[in-house]
Amino acid sequence: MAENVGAVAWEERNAYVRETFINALVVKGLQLTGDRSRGSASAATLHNGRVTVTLGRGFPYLPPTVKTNVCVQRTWHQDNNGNLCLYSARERDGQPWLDAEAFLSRIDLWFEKNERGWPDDPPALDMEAYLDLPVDGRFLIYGELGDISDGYIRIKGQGMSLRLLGAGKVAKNTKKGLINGYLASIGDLDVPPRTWEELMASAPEVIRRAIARNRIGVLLVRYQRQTQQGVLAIALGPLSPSAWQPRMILSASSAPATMGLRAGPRASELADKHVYVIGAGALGSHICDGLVRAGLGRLTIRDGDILTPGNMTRHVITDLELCGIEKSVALKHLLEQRPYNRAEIFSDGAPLINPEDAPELFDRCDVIVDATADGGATLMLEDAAKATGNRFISACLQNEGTTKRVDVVPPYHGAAALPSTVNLTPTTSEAFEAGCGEPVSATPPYAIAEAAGMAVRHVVGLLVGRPPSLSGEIREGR
Amino acid sequence: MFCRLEELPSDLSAADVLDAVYDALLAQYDEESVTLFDRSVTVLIPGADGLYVDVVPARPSGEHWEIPTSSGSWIATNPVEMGILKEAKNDEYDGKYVPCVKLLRQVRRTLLGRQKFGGFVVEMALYKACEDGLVSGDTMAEFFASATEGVSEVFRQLADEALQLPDPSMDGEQLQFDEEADFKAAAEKFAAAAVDARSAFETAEADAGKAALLLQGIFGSNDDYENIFPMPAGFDRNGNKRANVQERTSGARQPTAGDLRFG
Repeated sequence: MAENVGAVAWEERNAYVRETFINALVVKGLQLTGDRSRGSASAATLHNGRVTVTLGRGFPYLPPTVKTNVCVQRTWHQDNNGNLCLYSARERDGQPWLDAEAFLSRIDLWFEKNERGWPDDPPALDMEAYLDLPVDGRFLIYGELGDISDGYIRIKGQGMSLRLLGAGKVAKNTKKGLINGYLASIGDLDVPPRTWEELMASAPEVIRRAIARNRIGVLLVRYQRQTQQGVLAIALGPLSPSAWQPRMILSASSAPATMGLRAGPRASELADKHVYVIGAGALGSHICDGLVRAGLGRLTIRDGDILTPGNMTRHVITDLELCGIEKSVALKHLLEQRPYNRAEIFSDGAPLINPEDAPELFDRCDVIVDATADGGATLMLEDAAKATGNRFISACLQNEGTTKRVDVVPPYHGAAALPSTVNLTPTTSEAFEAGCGEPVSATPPYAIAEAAGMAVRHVVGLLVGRPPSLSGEIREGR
Repeated sequence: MFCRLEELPSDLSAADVLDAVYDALLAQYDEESVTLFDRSVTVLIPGADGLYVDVVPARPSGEHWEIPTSSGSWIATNPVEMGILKEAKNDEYDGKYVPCVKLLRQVRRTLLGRQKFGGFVVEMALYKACEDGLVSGDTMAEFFASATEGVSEVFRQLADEALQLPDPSMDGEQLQFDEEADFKAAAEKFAAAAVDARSAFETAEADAGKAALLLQGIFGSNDDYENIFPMPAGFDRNGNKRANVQERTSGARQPTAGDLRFG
């Protein structure tokens, strides 16, 4: 019963916000022409001579949709359904549309900017949103296109996946799943084409001839908006003997520049850096993965242990086929396959046990990361760092993962080291696994992810000369 | 719904025609669905959630048509032209006129009860009030208040000044009303309703519930005893704002973490 009362109150609350908004628009001169709203489900339409405003499902948490009732200049800011693009996804916080006056002002601003040709337009590259073609269903991945001139390209199809292989023509009777494609540049686009015919109007004659001769299965259109380049993929060919229909293929780039867009603001500064990670267990594997994702240029992974299935609950490697292989080798193999990897990766299966090896490690890289949680290795590195005037990062978890530590050894500028962790009484009894002489740590996977994130943040900071702290960081919490 | 009987013999009485229409509809629908009235036959459409159709038989009369009167005779009418005029008036008032006619017909039912005259009278009173420039409003609420005021004035003129209303659909013709129609009482009741409608329009948004109470008094309830005019969301049946409902303005609410998040 209590739950029903809450649900009713929720319905009424949203209905109240909607009705208040509608009333405000009516006062501003819009006419309510339909309202089939019920509770939280909005379905109301208002209009004036210029626009039709629809409050649909999602209101008030999504903005109303607005269509023009007058002819307007074609634009990148009106979707295929005629809805004006008034708010970006970023603007949903704070629901700016709820203020009726501000909402109507936003509409006025749209018309004004459209009249002026959108002078400060950010170059959104979404021609797919405007072109009225059915969607093919397959997905095309292309790499770097800068080196490929306009002309024939080879595409490999495998199930629903298409990959651009490179420039060149595919032999006529090939049976290797290869598709003939064509890359064509159509230059700067002031307005997006809405139809196939409009798109073809800007296409070079050579494409039109190739299409007419049925020689192209995929057309890749390269277009420009200001300094940004976009790509649109079109599948060509008959759906049936009597139905020739161009279809839009959703596509995306896997080029290094694209993959690097999400690597973080420090990515370019990491491209020439080398990190030496000792310990490729759970924590070390996530640290290595995090560094590669961040754009690291060179990575060495050192660990003398082999991978077992039990490791995979916390480890970044989850492929049983890699069991029995040295963790350093398996991790190198995995990370090299990752689409975001731009690092040169080396592996070393020798455990760090010889003191004579320690000092020269500091000269081989920019930062050493100790993720061994091994007293022998860690103490050796600490003493070697102090003796040689170097510094490294040591990361670990304690107390069943409730304590996560990143230590800068030694701390910068003579700062005091972080205090040693107080060991708490374990909450679980020790567990052992066959083939393993030491008890299995009860540290949960989510704690590993948290500690690895901390460690990568400190490593990146150190590499770019802006360490987050002088001594490191401790995070406690059950 | 005008049921145009193009080949109806001219010597048939209105009562006979109504009986025949009644019998024809009874053959299609059951006795509970079909009702014979003085001037029409009403059919409640089964399974249509209360939809009913008012069938008015019409016979040709020169350029126009004739429909039954309540006294059993025929009266001239021009429904096509009337429809054109109605649409034109609706365009003139930006789409408010036609909905307002429907609202005033309901007001008539609520205020006049069993003493009510036909809905067409109210519609023509509104038409006259509009022609006389008595009706205006930027919003439907304002227009309705103004329309109620205008209609009450026309009723007053009909009662006190023996006003003759021309039939706008037929040149030279006057509208004929039921002789027993009590326009004086109607004028008083519509005037009182107009005061409430105006007061409702002028009530602040924060007191929308109180405004709704006024309008509920004007519009009454349906056959299920539900108010025709619903209480707006966020208000209880007494028109008081519910405690759990708050204004939501732009920027008033942000996610806990703040904005520009990534996930």
